This record gives sequence, structure tokens and C-alpha cells, in this order.
Amino acid sequence: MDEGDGKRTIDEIIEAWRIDDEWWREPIIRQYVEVVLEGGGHVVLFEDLSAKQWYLQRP
Amino acid sequence: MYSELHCHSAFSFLDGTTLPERLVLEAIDLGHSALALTDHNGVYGSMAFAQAAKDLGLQAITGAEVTLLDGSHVTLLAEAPVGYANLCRLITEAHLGREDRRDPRLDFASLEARHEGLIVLSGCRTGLLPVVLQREGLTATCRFAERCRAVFGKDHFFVELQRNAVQGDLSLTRTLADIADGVGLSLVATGDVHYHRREGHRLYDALVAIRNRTTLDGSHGVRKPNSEFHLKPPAVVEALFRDRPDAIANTQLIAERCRTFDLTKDLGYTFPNFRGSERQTAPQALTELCRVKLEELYPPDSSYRHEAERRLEEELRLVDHHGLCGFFLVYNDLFELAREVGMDVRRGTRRASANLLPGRGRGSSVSSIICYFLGLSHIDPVSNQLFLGRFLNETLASVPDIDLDFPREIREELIRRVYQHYGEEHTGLVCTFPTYRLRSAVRELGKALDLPVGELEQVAKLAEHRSAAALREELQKLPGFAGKVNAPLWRDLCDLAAEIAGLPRHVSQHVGGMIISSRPLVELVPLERSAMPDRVVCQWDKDSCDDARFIKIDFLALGMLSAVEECVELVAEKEGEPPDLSRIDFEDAQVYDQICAGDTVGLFQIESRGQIQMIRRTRPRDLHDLAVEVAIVRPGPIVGGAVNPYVRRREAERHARERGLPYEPPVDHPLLREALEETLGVIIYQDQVLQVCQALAGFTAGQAEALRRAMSRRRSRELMEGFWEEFLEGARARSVSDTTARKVFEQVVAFSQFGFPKSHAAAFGLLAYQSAWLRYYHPVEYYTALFNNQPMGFYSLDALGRDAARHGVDIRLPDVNRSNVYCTVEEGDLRIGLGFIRDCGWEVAEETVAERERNGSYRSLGDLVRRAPPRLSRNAIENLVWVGGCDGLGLTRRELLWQVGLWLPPKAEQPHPARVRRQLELPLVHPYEQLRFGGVTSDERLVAEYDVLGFSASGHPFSMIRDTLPPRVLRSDRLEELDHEEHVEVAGLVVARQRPETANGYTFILMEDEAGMINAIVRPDVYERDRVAIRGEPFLWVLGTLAKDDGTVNIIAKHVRPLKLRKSNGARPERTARGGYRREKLIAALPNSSAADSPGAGAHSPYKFLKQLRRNAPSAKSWG
Repeated sequence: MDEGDGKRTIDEIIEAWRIDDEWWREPIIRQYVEVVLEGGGHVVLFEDLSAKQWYLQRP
Repeated sequence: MYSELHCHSAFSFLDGTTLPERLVLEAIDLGHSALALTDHNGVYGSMAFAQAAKDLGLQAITGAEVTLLDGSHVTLLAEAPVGYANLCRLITEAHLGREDRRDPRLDFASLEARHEGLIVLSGCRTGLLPVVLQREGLTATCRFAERCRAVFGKDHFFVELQRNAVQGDLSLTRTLADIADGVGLSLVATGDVHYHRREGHRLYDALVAIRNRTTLDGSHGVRKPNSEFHLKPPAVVEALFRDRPDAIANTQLIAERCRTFDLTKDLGYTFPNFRGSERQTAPQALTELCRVKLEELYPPDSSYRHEAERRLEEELRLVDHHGLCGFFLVYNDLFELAREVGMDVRRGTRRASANLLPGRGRGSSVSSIICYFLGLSHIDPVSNQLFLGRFLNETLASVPDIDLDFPREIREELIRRVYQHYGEEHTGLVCTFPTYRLRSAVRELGKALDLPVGELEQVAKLAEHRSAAALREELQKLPGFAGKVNAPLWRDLCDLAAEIAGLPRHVSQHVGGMIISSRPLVELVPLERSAMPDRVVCQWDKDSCDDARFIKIDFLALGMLSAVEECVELVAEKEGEPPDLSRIDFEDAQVYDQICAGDTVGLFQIESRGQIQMIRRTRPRDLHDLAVEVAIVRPGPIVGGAVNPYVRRREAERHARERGLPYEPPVDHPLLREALEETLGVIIYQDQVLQVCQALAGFTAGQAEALRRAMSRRRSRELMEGFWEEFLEGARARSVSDTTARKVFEQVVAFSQFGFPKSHAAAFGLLAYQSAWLRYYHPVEYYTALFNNQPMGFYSLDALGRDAARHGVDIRLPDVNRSNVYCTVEEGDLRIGLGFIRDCGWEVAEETVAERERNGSYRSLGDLVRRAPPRLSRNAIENLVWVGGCDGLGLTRRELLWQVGLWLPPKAEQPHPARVRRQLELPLVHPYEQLRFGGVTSDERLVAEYDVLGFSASGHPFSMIRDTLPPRVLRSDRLEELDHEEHVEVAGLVVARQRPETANGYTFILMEDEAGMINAIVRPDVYERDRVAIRGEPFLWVLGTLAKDDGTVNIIAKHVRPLKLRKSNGARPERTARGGYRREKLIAALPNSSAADSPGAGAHSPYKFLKQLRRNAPSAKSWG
């Protein structure tokens, strides 16, 4: 995982889920993953499946 | 391998997007070997699913997802026949045991008591265990799981796990797995499928919004979060559950266990026994019954005796061969029941001695001599040379249909008696599934997408009545909408409409199909309440019932039979005894002269615009001709190209006869001569389709039977096309050229569309004649009965009323002291009933009349307000006044309206209307009661009649505006005088619009002016250009050329516009200094009116009059 200028290793994937919404407006198609990072800390990442871009979900 | 055990189809109504047959195809494509259909609280699609699966080699598992009282779900799968029976009983209980028929729910205790043969899965995210877990926590859930294990057994209760990439799925399924492991229950993985492919989620989301009566934006909380609820390949689901392979393995185990039950063959339906079955065998009893009737109806000296005996023998042999003797005898029992009902309903009436049948046969059964003997048909099949093969033949693959028509009243009571006779658990009505078509799709999906309602209504109104799949194409043709097909939301609407086309919307009641069963029907198919009170429908439509080999009894309500009953009663009142319609002169030249003149409005089956045009050319002179007339204007003969050749040949035959020459109609091949002789070489009847295939292609009885079945199924065209190879092969073997074979086969396939068997046409032709006879000899009684039995037929009451006037019947407006509830005959005129008044209603009208009969006429408006039932609302009283219902009280209508206001203040000002009425018990004299006002003008009266009654009894609106119509507009009666191809301008009130699918885009408009009807034919290009006016305007102006052909007069329209009136015309309505029109001029043009009728009333301009009429004109009937 590339966070800012540093790289973090994912220790564990807690759960993955998907969202398909608002297809009648600006479609939201996202694959979410909740992960545990090396050294602790949970974060939620998602990939925008339309743009093929990964993002970090802000808390 | 994974098998999907939790799958919804479109029969989960707004919770599934895929038809069962499509799910089968998808499952096979994805490599599934078994699939369970588990729709909500029903098995509506299960038979279609099982049949499709069987054909394609997929194991169909029958099940349902049932809602419990607390709203949680449980998935039930039928492992064995007893399990299926229990499933049906449980679903029935969920439906019938509830007050709200739209919210079926089952008591868990019922499931506990009746679960033998069922495999119970714990349900989806709102299933049994997850709901307890959410509400009561882990410990309670464990206890509940233990209870389930104890009640259902470890082998019959499985904890269901679903992973559809929903946040929280993983933890929920892990918790459920822990609970299962803890109490010793097994797991099973399921997919909670709601659409067959991922793309289906959009339509699914829209359906959820529709179900929740909201928009997509407003349904965030109830929609599923993603597109993962589609049918997945087994390997994909296996990967999702790689941590619990046992949950996958158990799907296979359950599927294997469910093999014990096959819905397509394990139902065990049997027809009830006939009365007297303990004394005689069915063949003996049937033979005996028929022999007695043979002697009576074909005595030894009858010229038909020999043929009747031969037919009876043949039919009895066939019936015995198919084991159907008991079936006919049960029908005999049912008809006996109908006779009893008929006698009960008619007891005490004058028509009781009219020799009226309780009902009449229709359809192919009318061709059977056994049906004739049992009273199930009233047409002599021998003298009418009716072909039996369509009804009964050697290789009959399903039980034949016997359809019976009844007057409405008798039918209602008969259905109740059948329930009583055979038992509620053994009886149910067949259901139908109305499907999404263009209008419903536009309205519902459009609202979900939050599109402007006004625009949606405009599309729904202006678009053709056709498949929703054609929406994009339709929008492109609609003015103002063409640019929207690619606009956001509208584009989605088009896409979704294409997907929703043909999906079932809800459960409805079949027009007459009823199932009775010796074994409780409730164990064969679930029952549920229909929208009509006291009616119970089964969850299968006619095709599924047919596949289940159920015997469907068709008790149909025929409005014309009700009208005939009433007419006979009215004639009996007038003449002292009723006419016997079975003994009238069936060759009465005067009756046929009227029919041949096209004067058939209001007659049974021969009244439509198309029929009138046809009849003027074919000129029927006997019942055989009328049977053809009834059958020919149907899609089958039209698409098969039979109509024009028949008409031409009929004319040629007539001309030949006039010259004393023989006439032999041409046929496509000499082999067809015998089969098509009576219809001049063309196929008009369904029976001829089979005869043609036998004659030209040597079809065996088995092939003909298969073709017969194909003809009456959904997708019949595809099924019939499937016979081409064998048809061609058979035709070649008879030295028929390929070209001729194809030509004839096209005519055969045309009958995949609707057509009549000859027997049906003969039965309807007879009723058509009887209706014509009654109208000719007893017009006022006939129109009175017709008015009282609407809706039926092709015309509005408005058009029927004017037709009555053309036949010398005057229509009298309602009168509070003279009218009955329904229309009555009064001194040779037709008096409109009080029940016809808007806002009055039949019950209130009944109470109003009853009060008058008890305590004498209403003497004043105050008296009416005091004595009439309080439910006779202020609106209803005002409406009554507006149409002259209180004219007899001696005041002008405006004075009466003023008094209504005095006695009954507007609703907003009267918090307790009943108290207001009670206060009137005192004989009040209101201080303002004596104020004087002028009357209403004639144009106001006419507008009021349309507004209050929906029709006008005072004449045609054009009689009031003729002077202001565009100068060249001709009256309809002038058209006869003009030559073919002359240019004409006409205008009229639109009576009907027809755009039949069989007419290649042509539209037919039937208009009426004060002198009669006008037919306009609109070419497709003109239609597209002028569609807005054609579909939306009640008054049209048409410019075109006259097309006259052998008695028919049409206008080929070049321009169709909304009617506009002239601004001024010399001596005709002049503008006043204020810009209005002098009302004297307008009033003078009105029939039976003079300016003095309404002193003091304000003048109304023709423009305003037309504007008001546009709002109040009766909706044109729209066909196709």
C-alpha cells in the first residue's frame, strides 16, 4: 500500500465489500477493503472500479 | 459442486427481474446442475420453471421464501411430494389468514406443525436466525437454533449463509456458522439471487423503488448496496466459501435429496367424481344420458338422425378412449348446478318462463354432440356441420376445454355454489399475471427515476399501446421527446423499459377459469385472495394449470347475455309474456336488411367499425353468414390474408347468383377445396387450420393435436413455425409445390394470432342475431338493457344513446321523482336511472328511490335534502339538478342550485354533515329561499350532461356549433352524395381510435357528428406527423379524400388537426361589442330550445363551449 510517499504493508484483510450506486446519475462502483496494517491500525481502502483508481477512505 | 438454493424470479413481484425460463437458461450456461426457485410467498413461476428446466436437463427444485409474522424470512424447499403439499398449505395459510391480502405472513407455529417433507433453510439477512440475533443477541439465537433443531431435525434444518459482498456479511456468516457448530446444525451456502446477470441490478433497484413507492434517490435505505445478487458460476461461490466447504457440499446434498420430488409429474391431481358414480360406471352413465337426448333431439324421422347417431358413437368412443366420461359427467353436474342457479336467480321474474338457458357454450366444445346433449352447447353440431377435431380427437394430449358463458348475475352465484358444492379447499379460480407494457413501464419506472410526471403522462398518452421494449423507438416519434432518448434519465428509462417488458406486475383473476379437484387443491397449488371479495385464486395461470394437467372450467361472464336477460324481462313486462329466443324467426329478412345496411351499433360482436364496413360488403343473410362475420375480423384471418379475398369472392358469388350462374371459389390447391369450400377458399376458422394441414400435408391426428396445442399457447408463433419442416415434407409427398406449401403455411401460422373455431363463431353468431332481433322489434327495451349492462362492446354510452335516438328511442334525463336506480322504459322512452349520476352511486340511488316509494314523491328541494339518505352528497344533489333531475319541482335549475347551497353549505363549512341534515327535520323556510334566478342555457345543459352522466341525452354538441365550424366542413350525411376520391373536410367527436397490430401502421378513427358516423383512415406517415391530435384530441378536423367502395365510405386522411372554430361568419354568431357572441344566435341553433328557455342566463361563446367540452367529452375507446 502506497500512502503518501511511504509504503505500508498490509497484515490482514478483515473484509471486502462492494458498492454499486447512483448509476442513474454519476455511477459509484467501488470495491472496499478493510485492512490491518503492519504494526497495527485499521484502514479502509477502496478502488473506484470505473476509474481503476485506489483511494484511502477518510475516517 | 455448488447448487443455488435461494433464487427469486420476477414472480417475487418487484423483488426479482428475471422470468423463470430465463433463469434456467442462465443456470445452464453457468454450469449449474440444479437450481431452486424460491419466490416470496408463492410458487407462481414454479411450473413454468420446472417445465423449462426439464426440457433443458436442469434439476428444478421447488420452494419458496416465506415471510413469518415478525417479518423474518425462511426458505422452504420441497424434498418430497408431502413436503410440496405442506408448502402449498403453508403458503395458502400465509395468504388467507391475513386481513391485508397484500401482506402474506405465516405463523412460525404453523411451520412447526407442518414441515414434513420440507427442508428448511434459516433464510437471508432478514431470515429467522439473523433477525433473532439482531433483536435478542447471541444467547437467544443459540436457544432458537436449538429449538429449530429439535422441531425440524438436524437433517431438515440448515443454517443459511449468504455472501454478496455486503459490508458485514463476513462477520454475520461467521457468527451464524459458530452458532450452527455450537448446536450441531449444518450450514448451507446460498446466493440470494434476484436477477440473472449483474447488469440486472439497475432494473432491480428501480423495482425496489417502485415497490416502496418512492424514487431511486429516496430508496437508499431499502435498496441492496451492490450488484452482487446475480446468479453466479458455481466456482465463484465455492471460492467465496472456501473457509466453509461444508456449506458448499450441503447444497449438493440438499439438491440430491430434492430429486425425490418432480413438480412436472408428482402432483397427483384428480378430477372429482360425478354424481351417481357409486351406482354406474362413467361410460354407462354418459351413454345412457346421451341416448335419451338423441331420441329427443333427433327423433327417428329426423333427416339428421343417422349422422347424429354416427357422431355420438364416434364421440363416445373417443371420450372413453381418453378416459374422459367422468369429465363430461362432472360438467353435466356443473350445468345442473347452473340450471338451479338460473332458476333461483330468475324466480319471480317474468322471464322465468322465457325458456332461457342458464348459460351458453362457446369455443370448440360447441362442436361436440355430447356437449349438445348435456346442454353445454346450444348449437346443433350436425345441422351446422361443426368439425370435432379441434375439440376432441384420437391423440388428444390434454383435457379439452369447455367454455361456458353466463349472464353476470348467474355466474356470480354459480361460482359461489361451486365453492359450496365441492368445498373451499377443492376449488379455486385460475389467476393471470398482467405484465408490464409500455404505459405501465413509463409511468412506474419514470416515477422511480424522478422524471416529470406531466411528461411521463404525455408519453403514456401519446405512445402506442405496445411492448415496453419499443419505448425508445416510440419516443423518437413523439414531438418534443425525440431529443430525449439520449438524455440522462430518459436514456435509463428506455433501457429499463426494454428490460421490464413482459415481466409480471401482480396477480389477477382469470376471466373465468376455475379449477376443481378431488384431492384438496390447496395441496397442489397455493391459494390466495383475489382483489374481489370472497374470491380465491390459485397461484398458477392457465398455462401452468394446463401443464399441471388441471382441468380448467371456464365460467365466463358475458355482458350481452345479461343484457338479453334484462331485455327479455322488459319485453315480458310490456307484452305480458317473454319472447322465446330459441324459437324466433332466424331468417327474418327485415332483421338481416338492417344488419346488411351496417346498422349494427350496439349489437353483439358485429358492431365495430371494421365489422360495419365488412358487413356492408359481405351482406350476411343467415346464421352461417353471421358466424363468418363474427370470425373474420380477427387477427388470424386478417394476418393470413383471408379478408379481402373472402369479401371479393362473396361479392362475385352474389353477382353470379344474380345472373343465375354457378360460382366456384378459387383455392390455393385442389386438395384444400373440401376444407375451405364453405368459406370461399380461405381459412377463417381455427378448425380449418387443422383440416388444411391434414388435407395438404397429410398431418396425422397426433400432429394436428400438437399443432392445436401450439396454437393456443404463449409464443404460439414460434411453436407453430416449428411445424414447417413436417408440413413441407407432407406437402411434397402429396405433390404440392414448395411455393404453394409456403403460401398455405403462412396462412396456417397466422392463426398463432387470435382466431375463432367455427363452433364458437356459430354460438356468437346466434347471439349476434338474437341481439339484432331484439333491437329491431323491441328497441327501447333493448337500449334500456344495453345501458344497464355497460361496460361492454365497442361504443361509449354517448354513442349508444345517439344510436338509440336514430332508432326512435328518446332518452329522458334522470328525474328524482320518476327515475329508478337503473334505466327504465317510460312511456316508450328510455329514462336514465339515478345510479348513473356522478357522485351518487348505486346504493345511495337505491336508498333514494326506496324513500320515495315509502313516503311519496319529493316535493321540494328542501324535502329532498331532508328525506334522501345523508349519503346522497351535496355534489350528487347538485349533479342531479344540473341534468334536470329536479326540474319537476317547479323551479329553474339555478334556483334549485341556489337552494342546495342554502340547505347544504359547502363541505368545508359543515363539520358534521349528518347534523346539518338532521336539523332539517324542522320545516325551515330559509329567508333567501324565495330568490329567483334564470335557467341554465342549452350549452350549459349539454356540458353538464357530459360532466355528470358521461354522455349527452340532449343531442350532439355539433348541433350547437355547426355554424362556427370551418366553412368547408361537411356533415357526415353529405358524404354519400359525393364521388369517390373527392376532397372533403369533416369534423367530429372521436368515438374510437384503432391501431391494430395487423394493420401495418394504419390507424382508423371513428368520429361522429350530429348526423352520423364518419370513418377516417390514417396512413402511417400522416399518423406520425399528426399523432398528438389523433391520440389526444376529443374533437378532430380531418382533411382527406373520399374512398367509396361497394357501400363503404371512408376518408383517407391527409391532415388531422384539433378542431378549431371559425372566428366569425357573416350572419352567424356575431361578436358583441364586448367581444362575446350573441347568445340568441347560438341558442337558436339548438334543438328544442329557445332563448326564452333561459332568461337572464349569460351568453356563452362557442369557443368556451368547445373548450369545456374538450374537458368533459367522453374518452374515445382506444383499441390497439
